[in-house]
Amino acid sequence: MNSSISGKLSSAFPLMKNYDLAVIGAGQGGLPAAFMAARLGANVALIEMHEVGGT
Amino acid sequence: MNLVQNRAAEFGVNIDQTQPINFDLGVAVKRKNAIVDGIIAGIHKNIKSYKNVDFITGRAEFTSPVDIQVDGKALQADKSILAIGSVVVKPPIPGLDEAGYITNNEALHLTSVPKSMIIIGGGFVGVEFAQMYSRFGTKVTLLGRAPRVMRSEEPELSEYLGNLLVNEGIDLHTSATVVSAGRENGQRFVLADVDGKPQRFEAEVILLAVGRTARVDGLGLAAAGIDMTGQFLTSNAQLQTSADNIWSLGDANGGALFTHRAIYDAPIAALNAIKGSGKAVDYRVVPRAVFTEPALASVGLTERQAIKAGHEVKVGVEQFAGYGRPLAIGETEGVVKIVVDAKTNEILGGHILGPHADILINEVAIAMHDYGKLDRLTKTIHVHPTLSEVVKGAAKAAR
Repeated sequence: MNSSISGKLSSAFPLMKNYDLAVIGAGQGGLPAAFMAARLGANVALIEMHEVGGT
Repeated sequence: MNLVQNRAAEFGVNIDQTQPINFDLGVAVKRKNAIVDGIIAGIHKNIKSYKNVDFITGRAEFTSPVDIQVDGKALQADKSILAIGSVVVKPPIPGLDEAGYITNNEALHLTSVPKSMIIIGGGFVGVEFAQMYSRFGTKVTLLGRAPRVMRSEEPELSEYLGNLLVNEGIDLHTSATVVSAGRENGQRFVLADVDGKPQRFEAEVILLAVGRTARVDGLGLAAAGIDMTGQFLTSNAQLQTSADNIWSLGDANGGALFTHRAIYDAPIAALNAIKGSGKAVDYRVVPRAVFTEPALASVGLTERQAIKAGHEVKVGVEQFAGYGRPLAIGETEGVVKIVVDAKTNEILGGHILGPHADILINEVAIAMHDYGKLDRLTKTIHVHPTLSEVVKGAAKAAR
C-alpha cells in the first residue's frame, strides 16, 4: 500500500492488518492448528465468535 | 464409602439421613462450569504465550478468499484454516419451532431436572443424553429412526446397549419417524410413526439430536469460493477446500464428528497451509465412543463391513462377565468383539460395550495403527486383574 495513502486511510478506517494465516474457530481443532502454524513461523489471526475450547 | 460420604455433595448428590437422597442438577452444572472455566483460562494463557498469534473475538466473514471482516473490522490473510465445527441441523418437522426444543448445548446448561423429555435421534448424542437425564430422574422417551440405536455400530453391541437402556427405564422406540410436533396445555408433544403405527408422546422438554451440519452461517462461503457437499464443506485428503488458499479441519468436513478427529487434523492442516507439505489424512483408524454406562466404543470395520470389503473374516467374542475385574467392580454387562482377516491375521476392527470401553478401545486402535496382526493382542502380557484382559480374551477367541 502507498504510504501517503495509507496515512490518510488509517485516520478514516481501522488499519487493515495482514496475516500469513487466519484460523477461524478456537476449539480443540483450531487451537493446535494455530499453535503449530505459529511455531512454523506464521503470523496468525485466531478468530473465535463464542468461547475458546469448543463445545 | 469415602466417595459417597465425602464427595457426593460436590457432584450435587445430597445425602442427609433425615431425607431421601436427592440430586441438585444446578450444583452439578456449576461444578462442570467451574471445570470448563479453568480449562478456558488455561487456553487463554496458552494463546498469549504465542507472540505471533493475535486472538480476535468476533464473527468472521469472508468478503474474498483473502479478505475477512470480523464484526466490521477488516483483516487480510494469505491463507486460512477453518475450524468451525458443526451445529445441529433442524429437520423439517412441522410444528417443531412452535413446540420449542433444545439441543445438546442447552441440555448441558439446564439447572433443574425436567420431569419428562422426548429425545429425537438414537445416535451418539441421543443415547448419551437419554441415559444421563434418565439417571437424573427424568422420564425419557427416546425416538430413533433406525431399527436400533447407534445404527452404524456392530449390531449385536448396539442392540445390547438398546436393551440396557430399556432395562433402565428409558422408553425406547426404534423405527420411529417423527411426523410433527406441537405444544398443548403447557406440554410439548411429538407425533411419530412407529413401525407403521401413529403414536403420540408428551413431555416437558424436546431434545433434538438428529444430525449435524457445518457451522457456516454468515461465513461468506461464496465470497471465499468454498463449496459444500451436502451438509459439510467440500475438502480433499489434504484438507484443502475448493478455495486453494483455504483449508478445513474437523466436524465441518463431515465423516467422523469427534473432537479427537479435529485434533488429529490440526497439524496436517497447519503443515499443508504453511509449509505446503501435501500431507494426506488417514482415517482408517479413528476410534469412536459413546459415553453411556457401559460405554460403547469401536474402531475400524464391523464384521459385516469387513466381509463387504472382500475380507475372509474371523471374529472373537468375549463377555466381561467371565473376568475378575468386572466382577470385582460390579460392572459385568458387556462384550468385546474383534474382527480379523482370516488369511493375514490383520486386525480389522474392535468393538467394545463395557465398563471403560472408551479407554479399552485405544489398545485396539494402537494395534491397528500400523496394520498390526492379532498376535499384538494375544501375545502381549496384560496386567491382571484388569478390564483389558477381556480385550485380550476376545483376541484369543478369534484364533
